[in-house]
Amino acid sequence: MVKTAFSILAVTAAAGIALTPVAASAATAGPAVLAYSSSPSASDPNTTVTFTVTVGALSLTAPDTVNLGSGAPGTTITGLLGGGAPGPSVVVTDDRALLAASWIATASASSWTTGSGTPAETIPVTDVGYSVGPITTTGTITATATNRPAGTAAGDLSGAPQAVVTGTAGVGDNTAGWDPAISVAVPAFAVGGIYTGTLTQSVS
Amino acid sequence: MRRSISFIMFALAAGFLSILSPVASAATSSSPSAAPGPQGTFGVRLVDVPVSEAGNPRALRYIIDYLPTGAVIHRRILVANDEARTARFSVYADAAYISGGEFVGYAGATRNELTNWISVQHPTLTLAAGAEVMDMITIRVPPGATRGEHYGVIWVQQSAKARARDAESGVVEVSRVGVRLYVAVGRGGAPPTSFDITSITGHLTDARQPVIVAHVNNTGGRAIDVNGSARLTDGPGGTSSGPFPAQRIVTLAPGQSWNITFAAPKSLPDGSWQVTVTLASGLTKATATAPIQLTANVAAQAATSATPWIWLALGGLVALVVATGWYARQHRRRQAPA
Repeated sequence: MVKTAFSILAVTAAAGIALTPVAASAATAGPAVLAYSSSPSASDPNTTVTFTVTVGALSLTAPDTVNLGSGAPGTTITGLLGGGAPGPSVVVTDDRALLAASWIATASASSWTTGSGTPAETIPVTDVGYSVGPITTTGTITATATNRPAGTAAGDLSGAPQAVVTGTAGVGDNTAGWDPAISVAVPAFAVGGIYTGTLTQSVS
Repeated sequence: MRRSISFIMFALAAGFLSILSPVASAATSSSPSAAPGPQGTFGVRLVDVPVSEAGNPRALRYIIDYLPTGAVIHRRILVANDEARTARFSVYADAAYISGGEFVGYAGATRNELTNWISVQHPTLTLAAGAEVMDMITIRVPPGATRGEHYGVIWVQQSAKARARDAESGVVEVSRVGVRLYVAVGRGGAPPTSFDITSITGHLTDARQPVIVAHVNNTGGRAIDVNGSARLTDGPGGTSSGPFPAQRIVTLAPGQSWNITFAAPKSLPDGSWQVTVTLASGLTKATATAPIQLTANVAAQAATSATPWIWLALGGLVALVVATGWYARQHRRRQAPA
């Protein structure tokens, strides 16, 4: 009698333990509303009741330091951001795309400096160009590239960031990747040295 | 008794295993299995969305709000480190602008009226490989806030470490992913969201690629992110084609207008078509229909219209030859009887 009761209890306990995680994973399976969270606090005069979403994230590849190569003053140094490694070096992953999301990727740069950054040790950012190259995509996404050649008004990466790739009509999980070519036109007056510059790529 | 204990142990063990397996599969499905790029990726997503915007797809990825002065809202974002190493991120608010159909966040941490109202709970985050953490964005609208819509971005930024030993000129990359802010200030009902399609045209590019251009005008009081498709009907021989998606989404502030283009395949037959453009921004939709002509360019037409002239000239030459032959024959006949 005690033995059977015990075994029934054990089976029930096991069944309870087994069922609970299944229920939890079913709730997190889709991008639907999970729960109403936010409780109004007495100090907020106007609060908005919110709910939490579980759609995916917008992701970008981690930044790296890249060698572009070397060149004499008066020449243009061009290097791929991937440093010659196969495959795209800049990849945007849009897991929010269940809702036909879109994104814009922009680029802006600083001037290239060496030593203490005097005018002779500076390559102005107007001499820096960004060429997108072919875009490889996975999943469904329409990605359009806009090149930013050095020395042009459209290619001026010094002020507000310039759009380089826009992604739209994404369906499901999708990625768009490219390996941009960064060109630095070295002015004739630039002194020799190791020049370093910053390239900021933003996706929103 | 021993059998019961072993049975209980087995049941508990089975229970533990069943707890572990769904969690393990959930973990692998939530993080990307093959990280693109040698070092992996990092990402951000919006977590808190107002219940009133539940059905609006735009509100599920951007912070879109209409607030009276004095309002305070909290929005959480999730920062995920999908790299194979510990990474440091900085989280900050930046100003943004809408121009040329694009929503652009300024370089660095530019300030505007909206960014002055924003505080980030954790401005720097250090995340282990595969970790993710929430950060709280608080927006306090002050009493003297300007009415209207303000734009900004919450950036999650990671900078590469500069290596001083590089022997060649180098780039130090900075990567940022962001959540856009479309925050409007006002009292009473929210301004309406509406837009018009003012014209639809179609043409063939030099490469004989059919392109359909729709001009969109934002007639409402909120910014829109317009996307959509074009469908062609009543074409040559009664054919229809499409729908073709827009090549690029177009973001417009109130009062702005821009072109949205759709590319059809080159195999589309030339001729007259009826185009129906359907556009949507969040829950707001607009449709317009117009006839277009897809014809080859003028230079090609001039070349084809030169051929009738060649035929006319040839015909004239033939007529001349025949006339000369007939006249010569007549002349010979007159001379023959003599």
